[in-house]
Amino acid sequence: MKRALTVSELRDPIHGFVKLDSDEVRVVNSPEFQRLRSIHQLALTYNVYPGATHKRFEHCLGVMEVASRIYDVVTDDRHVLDDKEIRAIIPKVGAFDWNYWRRVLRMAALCHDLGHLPFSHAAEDLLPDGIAHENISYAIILGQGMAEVWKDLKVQATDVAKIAVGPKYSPEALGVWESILSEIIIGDTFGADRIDYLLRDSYHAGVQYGRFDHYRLIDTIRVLPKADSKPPDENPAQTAFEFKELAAAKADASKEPTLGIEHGGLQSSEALLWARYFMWTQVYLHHVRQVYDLHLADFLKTWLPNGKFDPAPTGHIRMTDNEVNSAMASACRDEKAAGHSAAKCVLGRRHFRRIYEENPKDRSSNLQSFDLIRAALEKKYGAERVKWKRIAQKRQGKQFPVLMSSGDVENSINLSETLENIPVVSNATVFVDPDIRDEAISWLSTQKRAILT
Amino acid sequence: MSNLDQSCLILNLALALKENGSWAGETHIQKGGYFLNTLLGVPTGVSFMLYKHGPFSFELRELLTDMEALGFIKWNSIPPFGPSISEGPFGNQLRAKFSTLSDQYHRHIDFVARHLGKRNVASLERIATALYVSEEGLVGPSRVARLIDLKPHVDVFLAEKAVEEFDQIRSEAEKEQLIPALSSSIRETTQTG
Repeated sequence: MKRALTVSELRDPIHGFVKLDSDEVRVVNSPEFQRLRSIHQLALTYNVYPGATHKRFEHCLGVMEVASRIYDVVTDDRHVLDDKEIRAIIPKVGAFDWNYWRRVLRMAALCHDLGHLPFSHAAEDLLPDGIAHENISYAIILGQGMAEVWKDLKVQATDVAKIAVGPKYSPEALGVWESILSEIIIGDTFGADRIDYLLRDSYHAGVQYGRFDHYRLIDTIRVLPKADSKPPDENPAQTAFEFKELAAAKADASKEPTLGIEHGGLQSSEALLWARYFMWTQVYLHHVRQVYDLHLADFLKTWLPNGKFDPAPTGHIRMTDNEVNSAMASACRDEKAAGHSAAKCVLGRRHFRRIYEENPKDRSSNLQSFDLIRAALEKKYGAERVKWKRIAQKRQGKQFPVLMSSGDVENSINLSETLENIPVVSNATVFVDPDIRDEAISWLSTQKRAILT
Repeated sequence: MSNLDQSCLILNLALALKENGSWAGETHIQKGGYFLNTLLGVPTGVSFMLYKHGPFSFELRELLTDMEALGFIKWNSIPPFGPSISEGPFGNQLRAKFSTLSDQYHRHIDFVARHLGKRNVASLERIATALYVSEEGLVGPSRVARLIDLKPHVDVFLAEKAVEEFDQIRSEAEKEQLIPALSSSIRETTQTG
């Protein structure tokens, strides 16, 4: 006789409670997932914002919670657009496939970060070429370690894996509904991943920037046809044959379904995107945080075999922040140890200092101003005393469909000057050894004009 | 190929599409990029995959975001159309200094802009999918069935039209000697084999 499912409740500072049934708890209790208790969500950011010590573990639970809420909202029959194609892909509430895909979505959300390396994104460049943490997540989900769990949960591991990593990283193509489910987790605008990390990172860093009305936003998310179209030209003098084409073309604007919102959620979506903008500029791109990532990468290059992480799941799950921190602490104490100076930069607060940031004024005189200045500093002081980092948001997600009260679907940028004008965040910074900082600033101030011409 | 050369190529594609009647929304850039890359063999530096109903490049989407961050492009709202790309504050400098790749492939860019510029989004999606199914190795009417398989909302009439229009575009590209030799020979083998 099958035992009854019990429900576990986990307290969460962002969402109140995260609930799982006893089958789902087996995923949480797996070594692959428990490892996330030892992976910092924001790498070494706690050196700048001391409260930012939260881990991927609670973030993934939060993503599962938010993804479930979004799923329940978009599949609610009252919220499904009266469009043949969209009705055909969304399962009916309570039906077998509705239950199945809800479970797959929850597990995909829970497991989407299993492949993260120690210190999350800081170490991503130290994977072998062509491999990203998503590839490792995919392999872990399909691995032997989790096979029994998926069997008991009665879900296909490939469904969980595809949706967890999305179409860009999945070796198997996703269908339209699977693509929508993946958007619910990792979508550019309304993904549960983004909603959770903004709220959570803001809370733990102790800043207000990442807060927005996510309750209202989630309540307005819908599956809508993409709004990137132009009405066809009309010419009354055309023949009947051409009218048939025109009528067909008019009725056949882009039908590609994607996540959008009802018009009532527009202000919440503006708040989400501005929250992201402020978190990027104030927290994620903080110059001290950036340089700590560089020093960490330098240490890892000397400490890892061949300077690279092992992407195979068996090696991967043995490596967490604990192992790296322990090795850095030892290296910091021993001048002869490999990685000593990088470890000292991190643990001895001897990090390199910001000396130059790319800016529009210098770019106006020379589009390659940043690269020229960086190269000049490296030539003057030696590459080992100069570091640099360029980083930008990869996807902004400010264009999405909005369902108006008239039933028309509009593009978000056409409705909101705020969204139209949110900048894409990017930054390029040069750092130097603290011992030469003052001299380098002085030198650069006299040499910059010559370097740029 | 540097990132700046790549950005200049895409910026020039967007401007050429606009000159040919397009409002240069993301769909136009995606499908234009797909034709440049896949039919005409231009090294755009991005890869395309099947996503939802047709070919799409996440790398191209990320490149467009990067170009916006660096001031090479900006998005403008033009109701009732979708948002349109225009040249950003640093676009002119980019085109002045990094146009080697674009200059090498300007005929290819013009060709794509001429043939795709005036089309609406739905037509672009169909014709790009017609190219996609042709690249899968399918020939003749079997492409129509496959296109409908990928885009179930499209009726037979429009699917057939998309395949015919694609064949016409391909034929004109061959006449203008814009298609790389290897691609042409693969297609001949497929059609006779």
